[in-house]
Amino acid sequence: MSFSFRKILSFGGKVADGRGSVQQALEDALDHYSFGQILFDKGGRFLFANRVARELLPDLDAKKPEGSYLTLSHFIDYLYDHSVDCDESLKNALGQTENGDAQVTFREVVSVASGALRLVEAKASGDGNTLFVVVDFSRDKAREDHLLSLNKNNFRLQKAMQSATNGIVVADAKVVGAPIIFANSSFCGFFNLNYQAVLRCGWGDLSNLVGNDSITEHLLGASITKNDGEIEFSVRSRAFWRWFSLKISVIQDGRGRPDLFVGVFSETTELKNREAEAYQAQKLEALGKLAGGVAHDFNNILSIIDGFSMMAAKKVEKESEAEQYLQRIQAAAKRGAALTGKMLTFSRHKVVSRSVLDLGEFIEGQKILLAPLVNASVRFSVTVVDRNLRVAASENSLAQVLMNLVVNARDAMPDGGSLTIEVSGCPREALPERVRKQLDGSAFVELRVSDTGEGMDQKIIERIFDPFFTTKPQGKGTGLGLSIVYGLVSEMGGALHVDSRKGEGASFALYLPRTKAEVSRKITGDVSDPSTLKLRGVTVLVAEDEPELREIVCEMLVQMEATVLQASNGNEALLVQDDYDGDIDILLSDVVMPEMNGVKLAGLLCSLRPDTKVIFMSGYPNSGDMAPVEVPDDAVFMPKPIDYERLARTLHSVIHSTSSEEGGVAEEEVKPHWVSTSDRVH
Amino acid sequence: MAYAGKADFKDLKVLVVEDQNEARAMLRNMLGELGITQIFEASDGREAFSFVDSAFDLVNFILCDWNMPGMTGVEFLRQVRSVNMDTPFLMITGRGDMGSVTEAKSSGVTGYIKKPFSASQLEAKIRIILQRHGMDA
Repeated sequence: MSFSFRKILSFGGKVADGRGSVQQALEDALDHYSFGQILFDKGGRFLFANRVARELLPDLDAKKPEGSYLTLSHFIDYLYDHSVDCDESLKNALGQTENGDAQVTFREVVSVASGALRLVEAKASGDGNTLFVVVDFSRDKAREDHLLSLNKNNFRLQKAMQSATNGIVVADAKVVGAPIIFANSSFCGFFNLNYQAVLRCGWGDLSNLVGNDSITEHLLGASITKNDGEIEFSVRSRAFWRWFSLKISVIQDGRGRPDLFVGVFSETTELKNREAEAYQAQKLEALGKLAGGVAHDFNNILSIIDGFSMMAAKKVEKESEAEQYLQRIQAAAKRGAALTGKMLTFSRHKVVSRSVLDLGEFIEGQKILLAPLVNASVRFSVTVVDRNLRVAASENSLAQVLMNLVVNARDAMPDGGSLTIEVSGCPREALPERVRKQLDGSAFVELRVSDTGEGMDQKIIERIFDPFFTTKPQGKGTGLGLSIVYGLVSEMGGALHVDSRKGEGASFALYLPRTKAEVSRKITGDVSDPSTLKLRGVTVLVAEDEPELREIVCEMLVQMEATVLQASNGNEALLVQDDYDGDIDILLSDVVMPEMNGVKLAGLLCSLRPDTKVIFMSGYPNSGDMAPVEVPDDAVFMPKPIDYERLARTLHSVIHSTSSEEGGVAEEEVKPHWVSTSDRVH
Repeated sequence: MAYAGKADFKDLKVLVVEDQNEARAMLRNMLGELGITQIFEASDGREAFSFVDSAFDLVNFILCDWNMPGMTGVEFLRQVRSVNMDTPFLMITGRGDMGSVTEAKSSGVTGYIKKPFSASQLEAKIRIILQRHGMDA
């Protein structure tokens, strides 16, 4: 104790004498005080400073002139020099003490040599003395800075949470009803909500806010069990379903009670769609491979069945029972071959030729063929919304696609309804999102087949393109129709989109890239005036041994703008067709030729190209005793000499019969064209 | 002129390469229907190659299945072509996709025929190949 007193004496200089032991004790006690205390009397003279004050302000007598007493004025000077923000009241105090006024009142923060901060408070006492209380302010300042930085960080965190792409909602779990205290803009954006309105809601209202009741249980579960968890849910937004995942975290206080509920919403729609697409593509690829593999092996077996039964049929007695059985076996083998053909179409194992066609015109041309498929109770309409929509596609494939879709639509409406086929242009922006991802290019054509039938639910839609999946009764469908559609459309570089709901009909849209190329096949002119007929894009193979006649016929065909191939005999014709990659629409063949007659040629050529139609030309009658070669009754026959008009008219009618017989090769049984089964021409 | 009817094929000496007995028997019968009488058979590529390698003048036409265990039809074809044998070669394939066709063509196949096929189709293909090899001119 005496130590502190001596210290005071040492910096304070001489102290008034005659102090009693009470004062001594008091001063000793002040040394133990946690505040620094410095006392000046009413004359501004230093009385004492306790130990803490001396420690906090180690150089407080810096202003004292050598050999004199420390005065209030010196001390204020010192404070003024070291003040941090130099309060107005300190300036006043400075003036006051210079004027000899020994009583001042102020608060000031000063910085001592070490950089530490002290809060110095001057208090005027009743008896005219001035007491300075000195407090170590460094720790308080640090805390204040901390608070400021907390506030700043909080603000920045809020900004970060606001900018998050996930939707974030925070509710106060301590308050009844768990009011929402924060929701970021992504959350409001996801569900089209107003921020202020969200803040008026509680945690339990979230299911209403997002529009899906299924999360209610989850929300409540979180608040009761405190367990964090994740849930997926979907919300219908305009025409689309959007998928979200909600992850709930419960933040607990120090006693393990829920403090905050935090909900984080992420949109998973795109992920879902991608997963579904990848799954669908993988599934169809796998099934395609399987179908292709099965078809391949099955073809081997069918060849054997077909071949041997054919041979056996030749050995047994004509028109015997055994022959009939063998014919049935052959017919069954042919049906099997047709089925494997379909499977190979689905698995894209087939080479298909394409041509440029006007889809609107093509569909209008198909109407007459499709109409008979539809029951009378079904209203059938074809609408071509936009004209001049050209696509590169295979006519046969398109016809098959249409046939399947129309048959399906019809079967979906046993009690009648309406079936609409619509063709329109479709810019990239208008494509369904899923289709847009599949296709490149900017302009497309949409071919839509819609019905008002029983529709399908999502589960069925997911499987309709699977081979052998059918909703039709046993024996009514092979389950390959839509698989074939899928395979053909993919092959044409297009994509399919299905829109349907149970009980609300179905709509199949096929999208093909538009092309600027000219239409490959353009048959123009008036049949009643054959000289005007043009057959652009029609390929005719002329087989005629007489060079001059061959030349004349070819010249006529060139005038009709047809594509002409020519051969001087049957074997050459076979070679010419083998070298030609495109379709051959018509074989125009002389009947009587050396080496191989026309009928034999037609049989061989059509065994390779079943879609090719035949016109025979001959100077002999086509049948009877005079005929050197018997021409089948239902063949198209043109007696020589050949003139331009008759040739044009005959070609025109055969081409149109061509399109009327192709196409029905999907689910419908098709009558073979006489030349398509070679065995009849032997 | 040759090959105007059944008699056209009388000079053909055909080697049938097919691993399945039934299929081979069927091909033999089918070729018989077309009037071809000189038929040799092999049940795999190795056997077929050792046959043509030792007695190439016995055969002037090869009819071969693509898909066989051991040596495939294409491998056999490459071997045949590697010893400079320009024998007409008709490949039987169960596939009709562009990839297989291209592969077969690049290996020097003269023609291919897709299963299942009729006698007419086989006849047409044989005729085309013979034309290509100038055996009909």
